[in-house]
Amino acid sequence: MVVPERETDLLVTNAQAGNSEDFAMLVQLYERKIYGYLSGLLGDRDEALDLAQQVFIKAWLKLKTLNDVSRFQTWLYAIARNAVYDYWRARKETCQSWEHLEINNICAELPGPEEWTVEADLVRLTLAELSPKARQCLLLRVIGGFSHQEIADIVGLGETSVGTYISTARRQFRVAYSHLQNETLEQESEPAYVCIKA
Amino acid sequence: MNQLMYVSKLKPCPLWKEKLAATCLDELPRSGRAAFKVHAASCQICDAMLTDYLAVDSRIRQALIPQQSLGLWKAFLTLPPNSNTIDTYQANKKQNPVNNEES
Repeated sequence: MVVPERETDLLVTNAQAGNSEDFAMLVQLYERKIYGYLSGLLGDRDEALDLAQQVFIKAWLKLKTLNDVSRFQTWLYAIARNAVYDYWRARKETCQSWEHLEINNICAELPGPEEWTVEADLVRLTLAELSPKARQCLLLRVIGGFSHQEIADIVGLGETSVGTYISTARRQFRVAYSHLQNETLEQESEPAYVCIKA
Repeated sequence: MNQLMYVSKLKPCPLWKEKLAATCLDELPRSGRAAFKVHAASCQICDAMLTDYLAVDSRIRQALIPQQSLGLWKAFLTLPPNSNTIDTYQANKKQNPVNNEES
C-alpha cells in the first residue's frame, strides 16, 4: 500500500488526537516492514510477531509525545530498535548463534510455501552472522529505506559509521550467504542428514 | 541465486569498493552516479558488483517482508476514541480483553 507522505502525516495527526481508526491505518501501512525489520534482527518469526505487536501498542500509547509528525516512521523504527534491545537485555544475549536459529527456525513447522520459508531462513541465518550493529544498519537501509543520516539518528551513530557498517554488512552478507547456500545444497544431497532432520 | 555465488569471488575497483557497498549509488549525488556510469561502461566487475549488492537488498526484502497483512491493525479498530493513554488503554483492555488481544 502506497500512501502519500502528506496523508501519512494527517493520519498521525488524527491518531495523536485519539483517532484509533487512523492509527489502525498507520499500523496497516507499517506492520509488514516493522515485522520484517524485527524478524531480521531477532532471527525468530514468532518473537518478531510478538514484538511487533508490542511496538505498535507502545507507539499508540506514546504517540502524543511525537512532536514532528513527519518523523513518525523514524520514531516508529526507533521504538522497534529499543524493543529489540530490551528483549536482548532480558535474555542477556546480543547476538543469536547459528545453532540456536537452526534448531528453532529451520526445523520448525512454518506456514507458507516451502521454498519461500527455506529462502527466508537462509537469509535470517546469514543476517545472524553479521554483528548486531551492522545487521540493524543494513536492515534499516534495506527494509526501512532510510538514508544514512536517518539511520544515524535511529541507532545513535555517526553518518560515516553508518556507511561503514552498511558497506561491511553487504559484503559480509554476500560471502556468508554463498557459504550457507553451498552448505544447504550439500546437506540436501546427503540422505542421512535429511533423515536426522525429519 | 547463482548470480550471488558467481560475483562473490570478484573484487571491485578500490575507488568504488566502499561507495558501492555503502550506498548502491542511492545516496551519491547525481555527479557521482554519472561518474559510476562512465566507469561501469568499461569495468564489468564493478557493474556486476552493483547488480550483486542490489540483489542482496532485494533478497533480504523478499525474505523478511511478508506479502500478506499481519492483521495487527485490527486490534486498534476496536479501541474507543482517545484511548491512547496507558490508563485508558489498560482499563479498556480489562473491560474487553478479547477484542484488544485479537490480531
